[in-house]
Amino acid sequence: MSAAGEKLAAELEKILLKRVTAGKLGLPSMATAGRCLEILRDPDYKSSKLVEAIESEPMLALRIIAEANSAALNSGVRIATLEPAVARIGAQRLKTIFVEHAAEEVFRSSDRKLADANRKVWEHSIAVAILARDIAAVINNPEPDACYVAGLLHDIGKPVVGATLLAIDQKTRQGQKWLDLPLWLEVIDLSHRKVAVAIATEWRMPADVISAIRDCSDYDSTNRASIANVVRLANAVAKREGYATHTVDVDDVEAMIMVGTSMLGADNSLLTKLGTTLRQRFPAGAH
Amino acid sequence: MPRILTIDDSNTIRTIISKQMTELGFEVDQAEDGEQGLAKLEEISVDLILLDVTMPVMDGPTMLAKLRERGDKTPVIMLTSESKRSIVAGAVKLGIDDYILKPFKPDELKGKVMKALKIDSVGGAAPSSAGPIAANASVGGAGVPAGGGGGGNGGARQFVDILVIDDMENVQKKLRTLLPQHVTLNGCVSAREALQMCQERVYRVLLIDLVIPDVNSVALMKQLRVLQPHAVMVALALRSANDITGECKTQGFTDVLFKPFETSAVDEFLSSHFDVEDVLTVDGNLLECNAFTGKEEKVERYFSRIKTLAHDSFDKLASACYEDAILDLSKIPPHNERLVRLLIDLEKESKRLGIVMRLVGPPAIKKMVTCVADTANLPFFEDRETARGAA
Repeated sequence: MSAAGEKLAAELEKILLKRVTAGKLGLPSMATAGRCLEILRDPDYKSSKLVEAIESEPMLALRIIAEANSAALNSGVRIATLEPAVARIGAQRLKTIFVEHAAEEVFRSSDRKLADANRKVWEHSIAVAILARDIAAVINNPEPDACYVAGLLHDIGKPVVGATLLAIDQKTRQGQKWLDLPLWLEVIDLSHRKVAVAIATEWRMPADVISAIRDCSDYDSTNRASIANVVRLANAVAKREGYATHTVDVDDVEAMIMVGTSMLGADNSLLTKLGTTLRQRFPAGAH
Repeated sequence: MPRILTIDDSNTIRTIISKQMTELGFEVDQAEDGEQGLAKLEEISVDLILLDVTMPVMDGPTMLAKLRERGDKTPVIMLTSESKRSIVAGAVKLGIDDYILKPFKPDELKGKVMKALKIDSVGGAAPSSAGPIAANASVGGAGVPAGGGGGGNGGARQFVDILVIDDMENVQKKLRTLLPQHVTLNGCVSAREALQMCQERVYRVLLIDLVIPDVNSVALMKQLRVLQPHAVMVALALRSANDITGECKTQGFTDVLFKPFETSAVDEFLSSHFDVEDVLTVDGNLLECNAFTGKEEKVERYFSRIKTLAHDSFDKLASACYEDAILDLSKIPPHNERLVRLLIDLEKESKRLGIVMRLVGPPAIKKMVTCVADTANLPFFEDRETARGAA
């Protein structure tokens, strides 16, 4: 790590953490999702209040109605309005939808290069989320949905840091290149986790989900079947299957899979099957 | 007999490993640290090394590096309480075959050893899962999830025809009453149970309710497909005006079975996925075609099934030295063309096996058979007794 990268990352972290906690990241869907998640936190929440919050973002409203009418939930009657849709989907699945919707928005960018880089990270995140849910299921982790959400959010800091760097770059440079690509990537690598933790904390994600986002590098052997460990293993399997955002060290990935397989008591052949069928279930670029 | 070297500073671990490996029929040698291990390998040649990481005198990674330096490529499984990515990645670079984290289950050790030794299965009795071995006091209390790692799943899984996944227990009970006895059925009320059952057994058809509280049935179906790649996925849905069947097929289901169950729909489901109809009854050398009860579009399947079963029966009769067979067509549906095609085929097959085929049936069937040149000369009788008398 270069001194310049570390210094810049520290500065950026400060700015972004302040913005996240002040709710000033400037992403409307994050605000809506945050509000919806807040409403759902109350076990006696009023669905009218939730519907009102969802209505403020038409794309989210459409997504919820589509989900309620999907084959998985459609019990015969087509739904065209939000209130019955919300009732049909249920609080648990709604939480996942809000997080998914908000996260997807974070990965959008009007800058072509950034959008391209973000698309790769988003595809990697979806792959990790799907695998985390699959692994949770095969090892009997009781919270496959939380594993999915943690997988989805584990790299959410990357596009946020990227977008901020781009904004600074556009403001400061005058015909000159401000940051070269290696330094750009280094800064993102150094600061994205803290930013992601801040976002997840702001959204009041469960402690286990936040822990999964905080550290993806080493397993926690004191809590073998934890959500964090499931996401770590899913992350490694996704990379082995080609859902990586940058060049990976094959031995490093293999080590993470070996340790994770033993740590979680997963069946290695099943894990390979989950990985190899991932591309059929989620072709890169489909999302 | 494969020979294994276990290198670990813990006497307890070496003893446990030696006991398990000996029970599997392997010869086991022991060493207390890397230096002793290297010395041992100067004297003997082994098929597999089980290597700890943290040891006095010489640790595992150092020993492994020295071993590879001198060109020794013996397979190594790292067996350790060390889970640091950097350390394990270093060992992967030096060519370890696998990794086992302490505390471990006997099944995991067995599975990974077998895999490293490229042995498919073991004749000897491996100890059944007896819980994690408390090999490391500091993490001995950590729960190890179910499922032996390394793919050692110990033996064939039980085969069951149908698994019903529906949170309403009555659904599976009702379906049971509508199925023939020989069709086996399991039921469960939650996704968790379903996943567990699909890990333990092999199913032909999975019936998945579309509305299970807090479960995305499509996601569940996709997870189950990984566990049961050959099973047919059928959705259980309530009847509605919408095109549920179309939607379900788009989502990846093969078919839909609607609730509440109707006998005809269950029959249709059975005929689509199971060969449950007793289309041919065999008693000695008497083959009786049973009545066709399904929908018209299934009649082709009925005739094709008769043909298959009759071929099998002829084979058995020939093996048992029968010289003739009686085919009773009294209940066969009067499908002229299909019947004639069937008889031409059966005549050919019976001749090939040296069996004389005699037909029995009502006048209407006789008329169909005798008015076609290819079947006109087949011996046809009014009843079984007369046919037997003609033998």
